Amino acid sequence: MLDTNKDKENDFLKVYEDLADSVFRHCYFRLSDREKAKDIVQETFKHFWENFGKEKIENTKAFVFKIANNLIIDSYRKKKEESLDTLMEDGFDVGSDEHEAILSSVMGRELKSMLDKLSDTYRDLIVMRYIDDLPVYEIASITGLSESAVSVRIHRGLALLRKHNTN
Amino acid sequence: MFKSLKQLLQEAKNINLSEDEKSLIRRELQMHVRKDQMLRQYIYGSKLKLTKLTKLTLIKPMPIFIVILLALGGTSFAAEKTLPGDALYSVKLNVNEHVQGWLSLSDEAKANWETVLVNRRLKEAEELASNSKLDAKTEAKIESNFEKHANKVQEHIAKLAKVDAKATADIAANLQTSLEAHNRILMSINASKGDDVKSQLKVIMLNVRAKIKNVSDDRVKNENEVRAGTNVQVAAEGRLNAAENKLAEVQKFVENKKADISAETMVQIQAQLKVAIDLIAQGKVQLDAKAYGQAFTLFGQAKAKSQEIKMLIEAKTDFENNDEDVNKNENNDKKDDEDKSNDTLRIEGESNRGSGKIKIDIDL
Repeated sequence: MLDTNKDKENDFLKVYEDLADSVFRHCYFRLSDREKAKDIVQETFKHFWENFGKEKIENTKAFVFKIANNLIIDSYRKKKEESLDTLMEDGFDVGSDEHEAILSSVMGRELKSMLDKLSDTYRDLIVMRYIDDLPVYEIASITGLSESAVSVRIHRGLALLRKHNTN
Repeated sequence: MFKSLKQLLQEAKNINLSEDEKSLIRRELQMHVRKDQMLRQYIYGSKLKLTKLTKLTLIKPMPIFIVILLALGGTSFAAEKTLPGDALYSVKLNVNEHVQGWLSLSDEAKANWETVLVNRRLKEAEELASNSKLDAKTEAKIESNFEKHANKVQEHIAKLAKVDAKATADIAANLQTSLEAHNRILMSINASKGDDVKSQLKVIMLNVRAKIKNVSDDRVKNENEVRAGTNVQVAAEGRLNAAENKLAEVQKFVENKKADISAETMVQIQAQLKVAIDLIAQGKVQLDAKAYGQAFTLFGQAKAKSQEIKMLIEAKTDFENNDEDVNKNENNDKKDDEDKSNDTLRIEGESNRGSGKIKIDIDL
């Protein structure tokens, strides 16, 4: 029994190691807060653990992203995120003074400022498609939208992004 | 322009968790997983290889509120504040504390964790005794757990002493200070209680005093070793830092508790804090004079003094107020008794009740 527990724990942690960065990136671009993104990553994997080994999960990555997506939507509902201007005034939240964290925030800032100008509907799908590299059919499965609706929104979102980039 | 957007998207893929952030979350998850597995194992008794039927028989008598808590996933959280005799107390001991203990890997960390558990058991005894709920059964349970954890600290001390006298001396000093403070708190509670509680407390106090003696020997032995060693200057400077940090922590604690502390008690606290401050100042004089052994001892005493003040304030705010509630209830009970004109019973009860009011002095 103890060996089984240990194996299960190791398998679970392997999934965490494989997906932690991409789930974090996903949360980071959809929320305007590095700390909050870290919290959601942790919560996502706790929820994932509840289901781990209980039911057959065909696509682990899509399943984990679906949990993250639901948690982010909950978070949107709880509180409308601060605007980018407020974040800029506060010096942009990087969560800590670690070199990597600062570097990350600087690197993503330009894109983030453009993404923040999009509505949630477009931003979330652009992040899933181009930052998380999820195929359209998986995005459709995560969001509950049809594949064609996903494609159309991504297309429109990209057009808006291009426009903001030009401006 | 689109190329630029592509570049931005590509760049975004380099955004990752830092190594520290990733490890921290990993550790949190690992704790969560182990706690969850232990809880399941504890509830379903899988170690016993039970059949479905016997599992159901075991689960059936579980009180409904535990089932609800389990469903909400808050069992181990709910268990954290329990006392012996409570339904979830064994979850606190066998799941929460067990899992937390896994995170302590070195002998030093293990000894520190066992010291925390010694403190917890004594605090439980104090809380129960202050509410006059310490009976022979709970006393025996606490006593045996206290003994177990105190012995473990000493086992780790024995191992650590072979490689690090300074760390060993610090652990022993920490435990000794805690035990001495608990001894004072137990004595104060004892003075206010009736014979039934007193007889239970007596056993615990005797054991605490025996442990103080043992751990004091360990402390003295290892402190002597540090003083005679070549690294005594580093050890003294290390203890200076520790003493100053502890003092700052306690001063902040006092500031936060200000609203709950009477003016009279505050005067006593400030006087005791002054003792700690003076000990640090004396230690610094010795340090400047290169009398490192003396400085090492004085900083150790300063840290112990601050630690003791904090524990006594905690007990004072916890148990003196607690006692007021109990007295209030008792007064109401008394009024009911009077209404029933049952004077004989009330007088008999009072004669065994002790002074009735817990008074914990901060002054030595």
